[in-house]
Amino acid sequence: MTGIDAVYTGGAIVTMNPGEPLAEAVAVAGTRIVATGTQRDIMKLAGSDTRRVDLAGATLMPGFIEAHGHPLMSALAWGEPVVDIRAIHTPTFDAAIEKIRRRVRKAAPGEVLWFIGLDPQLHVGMREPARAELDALAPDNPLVVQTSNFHALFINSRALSAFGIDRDTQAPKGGQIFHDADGLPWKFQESATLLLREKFYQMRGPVRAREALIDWLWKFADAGYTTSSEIGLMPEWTPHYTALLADAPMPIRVVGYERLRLDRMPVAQAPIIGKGGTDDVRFALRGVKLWGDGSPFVGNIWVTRPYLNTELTLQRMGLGMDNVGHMNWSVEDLRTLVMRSAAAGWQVATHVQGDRTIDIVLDCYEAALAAYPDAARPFRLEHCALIRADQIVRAHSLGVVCSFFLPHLYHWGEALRDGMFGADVVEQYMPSGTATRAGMRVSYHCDSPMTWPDALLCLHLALTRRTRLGAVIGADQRVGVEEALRAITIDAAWQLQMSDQIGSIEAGKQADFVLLGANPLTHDPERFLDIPILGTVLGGERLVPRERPEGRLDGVGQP
Amino acid sequence: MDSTTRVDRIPVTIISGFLGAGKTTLLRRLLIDPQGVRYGVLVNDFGALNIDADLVVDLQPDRIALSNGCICCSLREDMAAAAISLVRSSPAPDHVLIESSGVSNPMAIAETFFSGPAAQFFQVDSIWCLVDAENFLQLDYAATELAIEQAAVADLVLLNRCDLAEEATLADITRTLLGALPAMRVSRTRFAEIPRELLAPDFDRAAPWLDRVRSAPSPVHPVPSSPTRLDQPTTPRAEAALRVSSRAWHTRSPLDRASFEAAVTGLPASVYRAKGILYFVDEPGRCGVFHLVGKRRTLAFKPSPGPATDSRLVSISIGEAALPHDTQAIDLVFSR
Repeated sequence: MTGIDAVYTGGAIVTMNPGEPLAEAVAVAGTRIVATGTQRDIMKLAGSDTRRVDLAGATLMPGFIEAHGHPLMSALAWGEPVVDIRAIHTPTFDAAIEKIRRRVRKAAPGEVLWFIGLDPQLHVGMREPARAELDALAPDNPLVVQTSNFHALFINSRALSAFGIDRDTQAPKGGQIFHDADGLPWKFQESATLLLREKFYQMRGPVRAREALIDWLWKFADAGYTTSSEIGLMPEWTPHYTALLADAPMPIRVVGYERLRLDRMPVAQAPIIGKGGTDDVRFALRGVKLWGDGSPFVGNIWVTRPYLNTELTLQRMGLGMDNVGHMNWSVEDLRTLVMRSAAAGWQVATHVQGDRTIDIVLDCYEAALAAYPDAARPFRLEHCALIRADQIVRAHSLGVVCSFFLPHLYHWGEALRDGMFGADVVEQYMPSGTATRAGMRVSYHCDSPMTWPDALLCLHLALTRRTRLGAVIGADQRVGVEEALRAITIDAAWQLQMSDQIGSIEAGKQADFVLLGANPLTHDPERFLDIPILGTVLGGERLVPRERPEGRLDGVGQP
Repeated sequence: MDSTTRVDRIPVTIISGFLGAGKTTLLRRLLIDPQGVRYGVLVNDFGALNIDADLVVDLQPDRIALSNGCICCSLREDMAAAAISLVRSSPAPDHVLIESSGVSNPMAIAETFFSGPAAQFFQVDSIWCLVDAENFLQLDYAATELAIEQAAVADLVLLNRCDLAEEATLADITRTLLGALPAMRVSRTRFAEIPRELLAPDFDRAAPWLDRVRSAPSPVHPVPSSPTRLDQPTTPRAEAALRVSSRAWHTRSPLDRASFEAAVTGLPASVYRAKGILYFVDEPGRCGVFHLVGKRRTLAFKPSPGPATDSRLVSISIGEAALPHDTQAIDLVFSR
């Protein structure tokens, strides 16, 4: 008996530990890594009861980590009976309306109908659907149509009573309600969408939510992730996780950030919940999240240089001339929220897209970090579409980090360039290369439910900046593969305050691995989307991707 | 355009459609009356085809051979292997028909033939989707969406059992289908009857010189001087609700490539097939072999067999009134 449960060897082992970038073998005991090194040295540790796991040429890496995700929100938002009208498969506005019409035809009277995916940038012929139009589509059913970016939704008249909305309904702080000519609410933005979403999620019940959450956590695991985050967790939603942990193992770890509101203090006591106590933490609340501004695709991000005046911005998005957007909060409210959180010792992560919002948030961060040096760090900026180079320098000097939403470029790059901001601006859109070169420990994310978890897509964009349609946008922002890999492993772990536990393959850390069918260090940067994800290991336990033949994993994890 | 040459491989037609739409009826009709074509057919359950025993010359557990030269096999998990086993029969079939499961997307089958071991033997000629006019509006939402997804990827949608539905119902279904995809090619039929020209076009009758398209380079036969256009409407079969007509073009002047590409890109949905050998100003010494079926078209070049630059094209259009104007753009290309 040596106490070593497993030794992994027989393939490239990319550790992400700068002290030992490559290893020939890894020894695991219980949930943790106990040693890395040459095959010869590690095999000496093995005993007769040690499993020898032959990687059979596969590459072993630290499991992918996404510092900014929403598995629970994705589970609550998507799935039956919600109908997906995204442009990826329903390319025109008219086809999306027809899909709504078909669903309405099959609806029971009074049944609440909810559609997600309306896309001003990608739906050909897009216009904002007037309430009268939605009423004509669905005279007998409450109808809600949410945008693909999740920041806005449109309702018909039946939805007013179904969701308890009337002409006097006030938008919560950080949100907006737009009224039709008749004075009744019709379009909801930002936190105002929660007036309907929370009710809808409750209507659908906890049983469905539980099944959907399991399904979404597996989507992350199948994509090679071993850790993501629930960034913007309503305190009311936490029981979804605690209930799951009580009787079903989670296939990834989740780091929670509570959604901050002005009318209540952050939860004082953070639940730290582990599979086996605190040794193998599967869910932990570690910070707070607030939304500084909105979505570039809605037009409510606060920018110095206005949006272009184009058919896309003026007609399809319904913006005014020379739109510069706005913040979700007043400067005072934002400062109050940040200071309150820092005073309580929380790490703060703020959704920011426009450069003017980022100026304000950095002011707040600077004041809070000076006043409360014990607040958990690093403070974070989320998405950072139009952060300026000087703001990156300032953030880095404050110890503030950026998490970039790179898949914006993949799906919407051409629309951003030609219809919204212009070629010169989008060269610097999501400028992760500038941040990396400034020395910042950045991370990349897919921000499900907006785009599906896909670490390889993040790498593809960091390495090539190539859109789905093939354009390269912002070639100067490309980085090397070693730098890109850090953003989905060790540096993402650091942003989650977890880099002492996960993010690299080194002794003492959790045995969280991803197995890849090709070695990213030597793979053609243009072909990262083809790298097979063969499975993950979480706390020493092998997880097999669903919907994949067992044969793909021959030899891996077998005793 | 795809430059892959698809001249010598066996054409595959995938027959999809929701449960009960008429796939079995269509396949049975083709099998018992193949009109000279040796079909190889892959179906989920050949027992359901109910082939008359008099026609069967050989019966195996998963395979029957008919006296008219057709072969029918049960589908196995490995679609590619099942299709390749048809090639190994002697003689190999002229055309392979595959029944898609009623609850699956036919693209999954088509992809089997785009790459992998089956790709060298077969080319996907077309994907057809049958829609049940009598019952489509009664399907629940999920089934409706599946039926529409099947129709959306098809080259030809056959709105079947039209005799059992009111005109208002037929119009409603058509509107619903075109609402999902305005470019959908929807044709009405009953008893799954179709003009055979759609499946096995009698291009030879319409334009005998097109032999050369299919065969290897051969000496150019002199072609009689002909008018630029050869209109040859085919006689619709009495029992078929669906009608087709064919048209042909010929010119001795090399064609303008950009004009040709623009013309075929803009063809309306009524044009279902086209085939030709074409000479272009910008491709001296080479001739292009052009194929169009439904949504797909290819233009592959090979060395010219001789000094002549006679371009010829023939098309088949669907519809009660496949008027000459649906191919006017091609008239212009050939009359320059």
